[in-house]
Amino acid sequence: MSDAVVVLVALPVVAATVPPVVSRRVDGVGWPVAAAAATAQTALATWVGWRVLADGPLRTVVAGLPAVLGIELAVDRLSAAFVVLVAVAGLWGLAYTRRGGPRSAPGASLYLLLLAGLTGICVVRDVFTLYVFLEIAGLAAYALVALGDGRDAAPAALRYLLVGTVGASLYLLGVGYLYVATGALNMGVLADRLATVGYDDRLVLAAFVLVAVGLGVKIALFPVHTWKPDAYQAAPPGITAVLAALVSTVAAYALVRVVLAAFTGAFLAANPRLVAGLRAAAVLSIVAGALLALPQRRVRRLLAYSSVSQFGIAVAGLALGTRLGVLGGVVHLLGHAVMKAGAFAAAGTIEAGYDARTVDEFADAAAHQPVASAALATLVLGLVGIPPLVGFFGKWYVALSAVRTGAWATAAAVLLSTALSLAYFARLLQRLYLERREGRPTPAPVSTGMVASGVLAALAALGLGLASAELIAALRPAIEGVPP
Amino acid sequence: MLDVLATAGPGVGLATAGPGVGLATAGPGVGLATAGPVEALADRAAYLVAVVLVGLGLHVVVADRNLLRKVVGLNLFQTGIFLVFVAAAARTGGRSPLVVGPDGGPYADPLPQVLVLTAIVVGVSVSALAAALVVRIDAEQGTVLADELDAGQREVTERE
Repeated sequence: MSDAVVVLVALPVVAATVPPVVSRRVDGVGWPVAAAAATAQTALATWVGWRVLADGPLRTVVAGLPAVLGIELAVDRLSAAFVVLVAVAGLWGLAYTRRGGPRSAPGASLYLLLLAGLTGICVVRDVFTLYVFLEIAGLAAYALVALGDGRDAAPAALRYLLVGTVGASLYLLGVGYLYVATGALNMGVLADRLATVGYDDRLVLAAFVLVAVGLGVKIALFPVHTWKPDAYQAAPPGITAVLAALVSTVAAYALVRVVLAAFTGAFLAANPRLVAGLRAAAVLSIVAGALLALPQRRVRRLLAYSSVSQFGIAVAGLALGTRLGVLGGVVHLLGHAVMKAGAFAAAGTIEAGYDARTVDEFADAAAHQPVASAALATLVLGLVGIPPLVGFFGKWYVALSAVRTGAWATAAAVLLSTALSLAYFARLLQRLYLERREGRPTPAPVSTGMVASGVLAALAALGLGLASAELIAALRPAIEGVPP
Repeated sequence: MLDVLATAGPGVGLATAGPGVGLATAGPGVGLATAGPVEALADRAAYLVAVVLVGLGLHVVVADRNLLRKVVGLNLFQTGIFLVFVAAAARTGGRSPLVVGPDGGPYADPLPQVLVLTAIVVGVSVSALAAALVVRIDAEQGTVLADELDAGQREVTERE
């Protein structure tokens, strides 16, 4: 049964080889193959998630070696949540790209490799193999950005590649330091040996900083966020939605996993200044991302800078070092993924209908595209943090934990960013609903799949919000080794 | 570089460590306190080269205006990191970790070398994609200089 964990990663990789081969004979196989693979992946991920909820974690070591030597793959409740997110978002994104593109065979293969890499990050318990999956997902993401048809697609993809590879390489250097310090790469073994080596060992401290900075680049925390607005601007709209849902989210999951499983809560407790540094970086990201979002004129850049701020909140949750904070951060990651992906999809639908790029050009869109506009408005309000949408709960738990632990700067930053996000999103809502624009041509028709993807995300944001207590309760057992 | 490390003086202190174990106290430059300055420098030569490569590579990635040179800088940067792994695997008097007969080590630690092989494959893929992107940028825009690209993009933005 635990072989299912291996299949989770292998299935999209194997499926990714099909479109380039078959497309030599038959046209238009890319999308159907991707859809079939993503459907199977979603079914498998859901089944694995259900087994984990019922029977506890699934675990396997490739080739049956002892964990210290082999590559351990494991799914606990935390991994399961992200595995299901990756699979569902992957399938959801295909609803958008059926008409919106990219539809080529290589595009479908890259899409499946992206899902494989991201799923791998979610299940692997070996810090080096995590690097390999990070780069598989990264390479697929760079190439997908380059599929955008504008002149700025290739430069944006190259910039993303340069920054992303430097980040991944810094993470790799951190892994090297960990190995030199302990002789281990498995997260569980690392946790034991780091306790023996000592949490104040300079090599271990340097490893922590390198791992955090490396993954921070992938998460796009300020000031290493610069790849994100350009990449989100240049990629095909459906791809932007999926990248916004998954790439930084899974990198943030990786940071949570490595910190809690390899370094452990005891390491955090022993190094309060290091944790305070991580928290300061998160707070800087929360505030700077929101301030940078304020003057943005293009909708996609506005959403991208909002992400810089939102991921700061998730990392701040981890850096509080409490179970409540980490849970809040994780719920925020899941909720943000749903809402930001949906917002990009709904904005992309309006963009395709009107050929609109800037906030001003979205004026009066609600009159002609009421469904997509309503979805966009709902999701934007969720991102601000209006209950009962899921965006409220993650922020709430992080802020609550910050107040309880006396981390006032973090609590203040969360509140400030909420006020600022209302300011920059109100501009968009005002254009959508309150501004009239006469004589506008009827928008070009868009596919039902494109409209439905935004609506589905809005419903999911509402559903996750209503079920947030259950979500927290389900995830709680997976967060171990930190004070409540 | 590896030869330098392998024949270095007694200061390295990893001589008896087997593959992947017993490295608890040894890091880059750790445990060299008793060696003389020349020996210490020789022991650390690989790490010094790694630092130079990482610094140089990162500088080129950030500061150079030519996109192709940025890609080469990225390669230098990654190579420096690979060198840290390979240097950490070296042992005083260590041999290739091919176990023949019962006589035994010391052997060089094989695991970091395997990791570097994997990382090189990743690095080659990244370089290939980056080179392809540079070719496409050159074909689309007729330049591979970062500042000229930005100027072109500003014009596009201002026209809107």
